[in-house]
Amino acid sequence: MREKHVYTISAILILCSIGSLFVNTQIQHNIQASWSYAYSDVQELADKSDLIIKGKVISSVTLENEFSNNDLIFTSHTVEVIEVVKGYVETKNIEIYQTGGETKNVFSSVVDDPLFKEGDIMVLFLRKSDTVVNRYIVLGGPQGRFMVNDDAVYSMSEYLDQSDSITSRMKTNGISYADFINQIK
Amino acid sequence: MVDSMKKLKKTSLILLFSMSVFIMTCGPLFVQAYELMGPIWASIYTDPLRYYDTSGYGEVSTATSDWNNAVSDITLSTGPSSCIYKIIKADDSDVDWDGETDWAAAFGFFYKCDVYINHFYVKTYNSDVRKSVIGHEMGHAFGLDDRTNVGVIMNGATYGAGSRCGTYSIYTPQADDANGVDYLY
Repeated sequence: MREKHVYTISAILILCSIGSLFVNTQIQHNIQASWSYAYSDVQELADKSDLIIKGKVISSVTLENEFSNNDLIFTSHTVEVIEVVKGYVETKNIEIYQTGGETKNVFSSVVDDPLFKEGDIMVLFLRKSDTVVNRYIVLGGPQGRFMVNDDAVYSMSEYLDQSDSITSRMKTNGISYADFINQIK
Repeated sequence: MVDSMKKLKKTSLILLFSMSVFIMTCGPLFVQAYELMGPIWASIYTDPLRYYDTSGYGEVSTATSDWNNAVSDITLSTGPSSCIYKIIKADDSDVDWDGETDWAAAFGFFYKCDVYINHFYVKTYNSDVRKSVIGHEMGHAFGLDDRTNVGVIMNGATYGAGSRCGTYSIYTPQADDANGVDYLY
């Protein structure tokens, strides 16, 4: 009788464990974004930017239900401005809006433009939002985003090791931050 | 003499056989230019592959015909609201994509696929360009990945350097796109 109880409890525990795997698992959504415009090089990005900064991601908030007719999710990143390369900012921190986000049930990210992470240091080529004050959008998704790692700058194709990418044209693979900035100033 | 002739014949046959196997298995890898995302639709969804369209764009129908004329192994068709493949209108000026495909897969098969067409951009495009954006996203929904700098519908940029419409004037699936889909199904 006692043995039967042990079997029953064990079976319940195993079923609960399997169930919890499904309950707690975030569904991975992959986004293939098709960009409205392909920039020819870093100089064209610079010419068409409202603002170019070196910045650090401080925090991120997922924005759900932005639109009534769909369940797209976005992320609002707060980025601390370390240096302004082009343009002018009134505040130390700015908002950057990115497609994709993380909720309790879903992790959604653009394949060639993964979500910013807290602590990321980047050079960002930005345009102002037409709708929200102090909000900026990275030009061409991953095209206007360059990762800074130990003072070396990388385009997203190099950073993600993607050979056939829209960012391959940016040809930036580990040059110093000073040299990178000099080419666009 | 006879022995050496037999040996040579045997060696030649082995070489011929191994070359045939190599060409049959690896040949397509060398001639293909299309890129694959990974997942495909399970066969229960592909007779025909149905989507539910709420976008309201007439070009969805013409892009569907273009794909159906280009491929031989699968047919695309409209379907009811219960379809797990949907075509939806978005309207967001704070992103730089004019189309995107949001998909989820398990064990190599799609179980969700939402195609978004960004009205903010496509409202300014002529009908051919709008059709190319929709056709491009349909390519993702089949399982094809983005390409860069080539004259195919899967070129991931609409305008700008090396782009699908701006540079190559591509509005319909090309032979390489169709080969990719026929390879998958």
